[in-house]
Amino acid sequence: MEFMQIAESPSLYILVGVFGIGAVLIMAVVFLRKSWIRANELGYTHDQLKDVVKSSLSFSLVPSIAIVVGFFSLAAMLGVPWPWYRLSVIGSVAYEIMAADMALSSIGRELVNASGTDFTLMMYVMSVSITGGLITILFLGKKLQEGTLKLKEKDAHWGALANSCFMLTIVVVLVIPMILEGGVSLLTLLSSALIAIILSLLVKAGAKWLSSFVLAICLIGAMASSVLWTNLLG
Amino acid sequence: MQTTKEYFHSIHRLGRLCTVAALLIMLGIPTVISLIFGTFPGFLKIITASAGLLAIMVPLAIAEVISYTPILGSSVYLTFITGNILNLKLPVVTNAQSITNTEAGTEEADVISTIAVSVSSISTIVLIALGALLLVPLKPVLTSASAQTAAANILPALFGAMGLGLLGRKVSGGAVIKGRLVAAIIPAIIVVAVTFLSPKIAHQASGLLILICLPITYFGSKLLYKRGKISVRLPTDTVTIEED
Repeated sequence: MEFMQIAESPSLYILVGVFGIGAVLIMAVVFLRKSWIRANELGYTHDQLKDVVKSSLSFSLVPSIAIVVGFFSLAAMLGVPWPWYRLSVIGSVAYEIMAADMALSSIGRELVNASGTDFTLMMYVMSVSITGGLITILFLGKKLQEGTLKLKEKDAHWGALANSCFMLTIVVVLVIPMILEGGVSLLTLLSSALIAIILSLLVKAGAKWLSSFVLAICLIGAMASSVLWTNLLG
Repeated sequence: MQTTKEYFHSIHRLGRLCTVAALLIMLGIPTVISLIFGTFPGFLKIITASAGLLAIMVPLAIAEVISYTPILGSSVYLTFITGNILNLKLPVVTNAQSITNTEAGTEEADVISTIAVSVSSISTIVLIALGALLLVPLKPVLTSASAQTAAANILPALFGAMGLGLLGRKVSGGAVIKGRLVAAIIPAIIVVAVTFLSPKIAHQASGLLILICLPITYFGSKLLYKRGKISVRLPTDTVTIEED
């Protein structure tokens, strides 16, 4: 059996579409329904929740299109259904390419001469290797979340500070290499910050409707600017 | 109406159930394909081929769960099932908490985050499905050099705008924290040093770097807070803290 015969087989399309992506879509809808009901019970109005949905939706569009860009690169190597599943569910483009490459190199093969068994091996390796996060959540998810809640109950002031430490650390670890790297990465970062400042001034000046879309507009503007900076810097 | 405890108990139960189901489906698809086509590679081959990647991914996964759960709350289950955490789910959650002025670590933020992650996951699933359906007409546009460049620069585009808000004094929930950046000085020095030594490691092992820096920021903040070097004003407080 050839690699692409399995990679593009109707069986894989059905398994991925119905059981893989279909199941996750149902999970997302169940989580949405449950949290929506709870938000109503907590006193959130329909308009407030609609704002959250609009903002999350508008913000998710651009990164999702970026994921589709990655999907096209991956589909050229691994056929359509498997990358479709992996990128809809758990993976990321960089991880999938690395996993496929490591799986094949471990048996001394390359994509051009890979067999159907090699494709199945790749599917297993990609799946097994990324289960760490899900297994960790099973054991630690509840404990970590309850710990965060208790922190707030004990001392609300320290709780607010402690919770802010997580995002602060993430920003420090991610942003500093972007600044030090310079070039397109730094210019894109600065463009995004500049757009954010301009938009927040507009919101303060009275354009309140913009506030839900600030991050989405910054993202589109800064990503577009990265093309300009790349062309200018060569 | 459920109590907070009952709600969290039920959402964690749902989360765990979905996580187990996602794991079974993830490993079930290759198994069914192996049975249909008779292409099972053998357990030894699977373990050997996965070992290298597991050695990299397991510590990263643990680091991610520890760092992101306090921000994501119980939406962590769906977030990890649907992936794309740093480039999509985490900013979506931060944005949703910011526009509703809720603070991570509260039930309100938890519920709002779950709504945001669910909406974001559904929209990504729908868009990738459209991408798969429209593969032929869309391919020339989305594989163009410009689209690839823009997609490769998604993180600086995100963190430029987000960083400004996240490094400011006002945090989500309306609290104003003065002096909190001092606690990030040592982590910043570590990240600068690692980046100078190897920019590649700084990028690829960011999860581990977060895990190393997180306790330093956390306990540094605690120490500075106890010594009065960091002050926190909550929206409910009547006393104001001194402005610079």
